[in-house]
Amino acid sequence: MTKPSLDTTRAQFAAGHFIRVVNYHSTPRSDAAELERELEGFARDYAPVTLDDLDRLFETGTWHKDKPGLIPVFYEGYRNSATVAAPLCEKFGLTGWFPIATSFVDCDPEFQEAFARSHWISLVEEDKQGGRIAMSWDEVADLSTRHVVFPHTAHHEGFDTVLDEADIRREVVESKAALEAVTGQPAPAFVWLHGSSYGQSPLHDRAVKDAGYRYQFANTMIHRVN
Amino acid sequence: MSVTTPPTLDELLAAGDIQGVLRAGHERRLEREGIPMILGLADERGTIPPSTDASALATGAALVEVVDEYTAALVPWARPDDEGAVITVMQVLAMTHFAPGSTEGAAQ
Repeated sequence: MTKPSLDTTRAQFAAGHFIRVVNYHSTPRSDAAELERELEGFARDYAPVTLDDLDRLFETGTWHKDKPGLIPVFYEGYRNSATVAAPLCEKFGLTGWFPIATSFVDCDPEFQEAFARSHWISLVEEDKQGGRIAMSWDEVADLSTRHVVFPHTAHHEGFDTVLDEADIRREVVESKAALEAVTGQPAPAFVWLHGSSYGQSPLHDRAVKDAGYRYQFANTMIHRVN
Repeated sequence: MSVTTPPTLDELLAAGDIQGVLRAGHERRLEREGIPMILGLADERGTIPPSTDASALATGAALVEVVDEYTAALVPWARPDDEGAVITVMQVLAMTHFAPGSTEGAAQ
């Protein structure tokens, strides 16, 4: 198991085994122009990364496009990820990666603000005016046809609060099943709250592997698990 | 009344103020702004073949030097496997060597 460490990072960089990501959370419409400029710049300087591209990078160790790859990641399953970020990614030919807290999507819109405030999901001004904050399952299904969607647990939990088999089933296994039921395709990756790394808890590593995820995203690296 | 403009990343770097870069990164509106990172790759099933891309290898070698520099500047107190310290170094590295307008910028 590869634990995060400064030595691990040095070795990965020295081997050329790295990739650029940009982690976003809320992408409010009020900031759409700023996001558009940023994504346009990324699309000019970097290449999109599809799931196949990432698979190929792990298989060969070598990035195969002319420009370096860049993965824009839009966390949590905000409605504005589907309505603001995704269309801009498409405008500039970028593949977005969307880790989704599946129970946030499942939550009745009336209670989504409370859900967010209960589960470390940040809110911006437009989220506090009532109405739906999370994307709908139809939006999730639609996104999955052009981008990469995968679970960010069910309830936006870290491995340090997922303590027993029931917790694991709910956060690791059932979140995957919920997503796959609407996308009709295997959920290829998983990420804990706080981006905790694989290799820190055998119980949680085994859960992610046994659930059949191909990748675990973390704050220091991307782990190929299966 | 005069208004003080915060120093830019380039100005902070020119002054060798790595702590200032870290502070600037954490004072951004992180709930709505992109957070750049350069992530390593780990294959838990085995070994990733060595990269044959000279450009990636050169960039990686340069990044190792930056990791060493920022480790010394920010987290010399840390165990090598202190995940929080690793993330701190990688955050600052990404701000200065990947983010738009950084010293790396579009050159890579």
